[in-house]
Amino acid sequence: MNPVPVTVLTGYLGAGKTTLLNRILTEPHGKRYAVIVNEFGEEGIDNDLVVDADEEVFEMNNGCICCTVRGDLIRILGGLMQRSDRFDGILVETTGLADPAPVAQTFFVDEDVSERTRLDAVATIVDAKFLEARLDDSPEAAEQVAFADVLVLNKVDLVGADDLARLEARLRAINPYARILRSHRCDVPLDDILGLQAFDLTRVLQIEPDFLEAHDHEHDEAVTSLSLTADRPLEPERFMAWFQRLLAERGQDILRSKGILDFRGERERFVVQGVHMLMEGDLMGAWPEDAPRRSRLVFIGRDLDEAALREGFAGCVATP
Amino acid sequence: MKLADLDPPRAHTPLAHRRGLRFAFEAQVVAIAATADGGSVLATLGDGTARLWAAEAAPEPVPLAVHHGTCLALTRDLDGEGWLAGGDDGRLVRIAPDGAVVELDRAPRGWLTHAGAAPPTGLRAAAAGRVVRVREAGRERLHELEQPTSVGGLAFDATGTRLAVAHYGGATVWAWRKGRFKASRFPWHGSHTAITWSPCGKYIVTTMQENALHGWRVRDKLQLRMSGYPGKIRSVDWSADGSRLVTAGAPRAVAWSFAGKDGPIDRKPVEIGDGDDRPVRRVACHPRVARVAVSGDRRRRRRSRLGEPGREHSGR
Repeated sequence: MNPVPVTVLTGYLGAGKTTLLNRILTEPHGKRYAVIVNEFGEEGIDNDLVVDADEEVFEMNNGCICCTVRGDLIRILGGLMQRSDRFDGILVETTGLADPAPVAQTFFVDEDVSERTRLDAVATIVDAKFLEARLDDSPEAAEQVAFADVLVLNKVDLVGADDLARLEARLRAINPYARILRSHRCDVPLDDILGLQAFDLTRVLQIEPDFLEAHDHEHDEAVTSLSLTADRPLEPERFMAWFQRLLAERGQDILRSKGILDFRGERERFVVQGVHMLMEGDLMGAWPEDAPRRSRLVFIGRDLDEAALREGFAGCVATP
Repeated sequence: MKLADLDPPRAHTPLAHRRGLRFAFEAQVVAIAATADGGSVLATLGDGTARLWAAEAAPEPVPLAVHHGTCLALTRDLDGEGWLAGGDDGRLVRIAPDGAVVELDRAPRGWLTHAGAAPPTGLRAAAAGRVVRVREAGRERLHELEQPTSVGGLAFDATGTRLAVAHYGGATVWAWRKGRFKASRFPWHGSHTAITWSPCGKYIVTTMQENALHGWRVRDKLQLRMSGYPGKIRSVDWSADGSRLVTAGAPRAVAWSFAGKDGPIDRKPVEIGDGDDRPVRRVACHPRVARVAVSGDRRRRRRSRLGEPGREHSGR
């Protein structure tokens, strides 16, 4: 049985989450969805299978890993998967103020959830008119942007071209790896939202090298990204020790991490990805013949200590 | 040249495969429960139906329509001959031994996730969200017991006068006296996903979202920490004599002794039966003799095996 894909829709109240949700449910794509909504949803959802969630977040502590998960989601997904023949995918809508991390972490941590479902992508819907105010006044807004695999910049008809360019620059400063889709009323191609497999390790291989270059940002964002590269192979033990210690100590501030690594003596690429303190990694095939073997590690996080991260990563490079 | 064994040792074939009956259904089996005398077995399915199998009356399971969506909760009813079933339609139904389905309760919203029955007191309990709804048999009055968070599991003790409820942040024991419930909290941080009483009534034990069990001696709320599992503990059961709690979640079934004054405190658990690297998912103790049925991880390989508490391998 293939795991059922789960798409998470986040965004502030009024940004257009429900509009997008209803579009996904009504367009003739031949797919059926189970929908998990929060109990404070503002509009009606037109679907056979809608489940109210109460967003019960709790802290879990398994050995050295400490993270927050959504207990209600574990229970609801467990119930839904008892008759998974009724749908092809699951959509989870979060409340406006929700931190996406507990939702994402639930898919890493719970055995039953990870056996039967897979997190496909986090799509964050932002309102072009109010995005800047939200980014300035609430930490959740930046976290939702930082966590996104896709950013739907909605209601672009309400702002001018200059404003739009500035908004996109701010989104890029926080999260250069997400795809930005402009829309009026969430009228984006659904193929750009669904079936992305963004949490699949093979997708990490497709991080655009362009995004890894430094960006100029006008605003001093609290949540930013950082990319580290190395042209010489890394010492695997040294890297793992450093990376695990880093996530254990700074994992609260590191929202997402992704990397393609060249380990000394290893023919294949080692790929890692993480959400806060949770990390997974595996060998993902040989390096392409025509490209240099270059390690890349990217972080999106809050108050990242760039100098310390650069120094730590540089310390993992194998001595020739 | 090699000689193949014409008659491989029987021990390699799981008992359930040699002696068991197999039935295949279109939908997933959510829960299964036998009557007190073991004469009938009911399986509830993910498509809202159930299959009733009465060993003597019908050789094939009889399909029953039970819930409009998915069956979630299942337990034996007060008489020991019928069942209580809850579903995602919010309904609590009784399924009689002849297969008749009668609605007993309907929660105003949410799924009906857990159910319990207490024969000595005639109480029936069912959880929807964070509320446990309790009624006495034959009475209309509904007792709504509000929990701090959503219910992870519920269980009556053997006397039927105490209802233990697992939730986030611990457990609550509701004592039933003179037609009223009184709550007593048993805090322990974390998410508690199921709960059971020791048959002697001295201890409650929860399974947790972390790979651990947590217990309390009810008298003085003394904490019992039972951890070290490599996997999720999906199933626990008490040995026939009530002295041992047998648990899943490790490569072999793990039994904790609750005999004596302090239960498992300062005592190592013992591992039961043969083991390999596949974690045990389900355990079920024989109701009369010291045997436990153990089922392995079905995703890795379908198999089930039997272990004997008499043939224990100690140490973990």
